[in-house]
Formats: sequence, structure tokens, C-alpha cells
Amino acid sequence: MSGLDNFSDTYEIIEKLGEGAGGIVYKAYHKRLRQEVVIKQHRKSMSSLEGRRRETDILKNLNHTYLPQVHDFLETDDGVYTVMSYVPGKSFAQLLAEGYSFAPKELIRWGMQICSALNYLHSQEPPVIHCDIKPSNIMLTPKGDICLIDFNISFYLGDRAVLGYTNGYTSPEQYIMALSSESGQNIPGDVRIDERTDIYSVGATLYHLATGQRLSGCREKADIKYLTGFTGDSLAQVIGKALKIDPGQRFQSAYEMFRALENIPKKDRRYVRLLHRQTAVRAVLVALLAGFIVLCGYGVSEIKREKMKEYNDLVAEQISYIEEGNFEAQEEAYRKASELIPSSLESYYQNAYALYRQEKYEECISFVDYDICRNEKLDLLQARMADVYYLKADSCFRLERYEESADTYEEVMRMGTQHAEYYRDYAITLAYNSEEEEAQKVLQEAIDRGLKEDSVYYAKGEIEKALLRPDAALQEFIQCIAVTDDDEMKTRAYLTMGDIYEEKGSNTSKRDILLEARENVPAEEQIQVLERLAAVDIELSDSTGRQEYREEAIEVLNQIISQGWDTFDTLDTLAIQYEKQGDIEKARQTADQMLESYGEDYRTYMRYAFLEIDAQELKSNTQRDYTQFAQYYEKAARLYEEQVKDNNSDAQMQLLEDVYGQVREGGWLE
Amino acid sequence: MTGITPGLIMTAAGAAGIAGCLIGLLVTAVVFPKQRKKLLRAIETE
Repeated sequence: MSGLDNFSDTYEIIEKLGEGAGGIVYKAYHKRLRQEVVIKQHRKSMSSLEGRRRETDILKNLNHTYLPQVHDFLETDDGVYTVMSYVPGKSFAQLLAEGYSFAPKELIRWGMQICSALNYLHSQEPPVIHCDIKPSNIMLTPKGDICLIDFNISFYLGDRAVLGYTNGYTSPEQYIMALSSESGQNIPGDVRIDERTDIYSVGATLYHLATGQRLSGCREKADIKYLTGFTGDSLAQVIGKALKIDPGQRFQSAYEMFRALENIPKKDRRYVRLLHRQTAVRAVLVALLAGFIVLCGYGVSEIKREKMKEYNDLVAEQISYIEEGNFEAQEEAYRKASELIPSSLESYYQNAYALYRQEKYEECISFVDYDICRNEKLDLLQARMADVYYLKADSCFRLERYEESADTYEEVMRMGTQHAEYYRDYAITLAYNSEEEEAQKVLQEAIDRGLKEDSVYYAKGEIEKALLRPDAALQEFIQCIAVTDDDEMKTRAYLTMGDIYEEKGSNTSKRDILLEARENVPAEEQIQVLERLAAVDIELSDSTGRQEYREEAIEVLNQIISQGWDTFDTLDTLAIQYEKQGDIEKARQTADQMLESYGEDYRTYMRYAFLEIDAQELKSNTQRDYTQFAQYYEKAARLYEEQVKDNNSDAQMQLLEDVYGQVREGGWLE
Repeated sequence: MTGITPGLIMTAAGAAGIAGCLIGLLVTAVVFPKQRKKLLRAIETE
């Protein structure tokens, strides 16, 4: 105790805690700090001063929950002393001696704490290897945590000097190095101390704690089956791996062993079962998710398909309505189709075609220009646009806007159409636009593209007509009619021939050719033929006064009505013809039909009024009664104001007003 | 499009299923770790 007297002003020795190979350990009281400390007196023979300083320096630099804190290092003539915090409690060696039975969960928890402390030591720079882990160097504090003490043989990694060993806990490689060092022999080159040395010692310590028996030596292979009886399979496997003779087969770091210990509860059967159950639930959910994604995707594609089918049905309806001449229904179908898929061109095309078929050329052109060409939803570069432009070009042609028509045909050509008929009509347009040379070139291109013979004659006829060579044109049309089996073309040829005769001032020839057309074209193509025939008959009747022309006109108009092609004007014209024939009764019946078919229209009452005037004129003055006439007139005048914005535009209405005025002035009305 | 079509039914069912599965997965992501932690605690304290 003589050396300790040197520190009596600072420390008061309480008791001697123990004595071992490393030195004597005292429990003391630090007077100034007023706390219990441990003073370790190092044996001089144990190590050099430098070695002792090493241990202290190592410990002084460390700060970890499971390691003691070194406070001081004292050196006197009598010895060297290390002062460190007092760790209350018992060492595992004491607990073993008392017969304490370590439960597996305690071994796991404390094993993890040891590994945590070791991981801290091993992660120092340079790494610190404890080299003396054993039950007596592990304190269990009152809090239930461990504290790793006694570093008197701690070892900086890379330093090949080993300070000692403890049989039963020391790893084989440390044992070999210690023996070699003691006997002065060279240390074998493949033997080295590293983190795995401490891993072995932890394994040996845990083995001892679990079984109550320590390994007899480093060469003894741990009996894992025996160990399993105390710890269970999972912990025994971890300890067994730590105790492998070959360091390469042990845990490669304290952290790895820490994780292995941490994961032991996860190897519990209940935990594994829970994991499997959770994995199964997740797998089912993922499989269901995949299934629903597929179902949803299929549903979306099905909706698209259904939408496309509905759209195609509507377009088919449009085509069918156009064929039937039911243009209102066609327009309704167009609206539905274009609302359904606004980006699809086909319904737009059909609607433009319907306008074209109704000879509403202005509307057709506007529709193409505004509803199609300025529609951002439509792809205007698709091939079908050639057909759309064709409708516009031909509409312009029919309105005799040849320049605009030719420009539009250029658009048709730019779209890359393969229709030879489009080239044919382009050639005709060019001819009408006084571009004969260009017209011939385009016609030749049409022929090169396989334009049929009848079309060639037709085109040539139109070109000749445009170039004011009517006789040559007639010849070409006759040839066309002779060879063609296309009823539409035949009709167009007849009609154009009629126009040529009209231009030549020969209405009888026009009538003849239209009569021939009436015989030779099928019923569905006859509407224009009949309309023109009726018109030319009326003209001939009016100009010659021959009633057979009027009778023919009446018969033709009745045919138009019976076919269902009639319009308001058809009935009105028929009523006028009956009136001119003097058949007032039939004229009235026709006016009744107008009222029935077209409802309240000022023109119907205007017709009634004119018929009433004629009817009264057939009577003697005493029998005349203009009351009915006045009623018709007043109704026509009222409707005229309602229905016609610019109510000075109808000359017949003006005439009726004059007649009404004369009747009033004549005193026929009260 | 008029009425309830098979495509619409499939899409609606698929969308509802996707939403249900995603909610289910979300619930498992929250609940399962808690279950595991609870069981581990129970095993450790035995």
C-alpha cells in the first residue's frame, strides 16, 4: 500500500477488489470528485511501462455505454496506476460461480451488448482488439447491462505482439501467437489477430454462460448439439459460427454477429409463420392488383372498341340515309358520330357528301372550309382528305367557281389520290377555267392512271363544251352514253347535253334528249332529269301555248311527287300548272297537299288566294264573293311578315297585294 | 356511348379493384411492421 499513500490526499482506498496476473485492483473514493473509482496497480513484471500506457491510452480515448471510463494514469517510483470509473455489480464469472443460469434471451441481449462494444472498439483507428473477452471481464451492472472491462492485453490491430491469453476463451490464432511469443519462436506467417479473434472469445464466453462449462482449450470443437439443449437451435447456430476454428468461417465483424443475434427472434416459428402469412396476403393483393390492372386495361380497350363500333354504325347509318335521301336523319347521325369521336374524319366526310348530294354546294364548301379544315381535332394529312377536297372542288365547279375549284383540285392532287376520276374532273375544271393545255395534260394523266373509256368521252365532252365547241361536245357525250354502264355518268351526260341544247336555244332538242334520258336512266337517277323535263315542258308550253307540253309537265311533276322526291316548289309548280290549265279544283287539292306536307307557309295561302281570284273570275259579277280570297290574303300577309325578314323580296306577294288592292278598290269587299 | 356497356363495367370494376388493392397494400405497409414488431417483443420478453 506504500505506493498508494502517494495519492492519499486525492483517493481513499476502500477495499481490495481482487488480484490477478495483470495486477491488484482496489476500490477507492475520489475525495474531490466524491465518487467511487477503481485503481488498478499494474504489476511491474506484467508489462513494460509503454505497454501499460498503451492500455490506458486506449481506454482514455474510448467512450461507450458498455465500456468503463478511464479517468487518470498515475506513475510513481513504486508502480503504475490506472484510475477508472467504478462499475458496480457482478462479473459473469461471479454469476457463474453462484450458479446463475443464463436464459437464452439474456444471452442474446448481453451478447448483442458485447458485440456493440466490440464493434465500437474495432471501428477505432487503428482498430482495437480486446483479446481477453471472458466472463470475468464482463460486468453486469445493477441496471442489467454489461460493461466490458480489463484491457490489460488489448491489442492494436497490425501489432503482432500478443500480451497474453486465457485458456478456454482465447481463439486458436491468438493462442498460437501467444505460445510462439513466449517460446521466442517466429509467429507463423498465416496467423494473425483481427476482429474475428474477439468474435471467437465472445462465442466461447456465451458457450460457457449457456452451458455452465467452458471449453477446455482452443482446439476443442464446441458441441453444438449439446449447446442447442440450453439455447435452442438459432442461438446455438450463432455461437457455433463464432467458435469456428477457421477465422474465415466465423462472423467477419462484431456488427455481423450483432445482426445475427438480433435476428434470432426472427427465426422463431411464430415469427416465420407471421412473415409467411403477411407475404401471402401481400402476394394475393399484388396478384389481384395485376388482375384488376389487366381488367381495367381490357375494359378501356373494350370501351374504345364499343365506341368505334357505335361510330362505325352511325357512319353506316349516314351512308344509308344518304342513299335513301333522308338527309335530316343523316345530319342527326352525323352529329352523334362527330360528338362520339370528334377526331375521326369519316362522319364529317359523309355529312359533306350529304350536302353535296342535296346540291347544297355553298353549304358543302362552308362545311369543308370551317368544320373540317379548321377543326384542330382532325388530322388533315390523312388520305381521306383527298375525297373531302374533291367534294369541295366539285361543289365549286357546280357553282361555276372554276378558279377556286381548280385550286381545290390541286389540294386533292397534293393528298396523293389514286382516283383517275378525280383527275378527269380536274381536267374538266381546268378546261372551264380556260386552261386548255393544262386540262389536256391532266386528262392524259387520268387516262394513264386507267380512266375508263366512258369517262374519257365524258371528260372530252365537258372539255369541248367548256371550250365552246358544242357540236364536238355533243358527239363525245353521245359516245359516252353509248359505252357507259355507269348510270350516274349517263345521267350527267344527258343533263349536260340538255344544257348544251338550251345554250343553243333549242328547247325541243333539250326536251327530246331529256325524254330519252327518262327512258334510259334508272329511276333512282331520274330526279334531275324529271325536274329539267318539267321545266322545259313548262317553258315550251308558255312559249308555244301548246297544252300537250303542260300536260306532260303535269304528268312529270306527278311522277316526282309519287317517287317522294317532291319539294314545296314541286307542289307549288304543279298547282300553278293546274291553275293555268283552268283546273282550279286540282290546283286546290295540290295546295291542300302543300298545307298538309309543309304546314303553315305564306306561299300556300298566297296560292289559295290566287286560285280563289281565278275561281271568282269564272263566275258572273253577281255571284262573285271575295270574302274567302280576303281571308287567304290576310293570312298569307301575316305569315309573310313572320316568315320573311325582308318582306319586299317576293314579287308574287307584291302582285297579290296589288290584286287585293284592286278588289278593295272595286268595292268587292266591305 | 349509351347505357352501361360491358367495357364500362369492366373498367369500373377494374378501377375499383385497383383502388381497393392499393388501399390494401397501403394498410399492410402500415399494419404488418407493427404486427411483426409486436410479435418480436412478445418473443423477446418470453
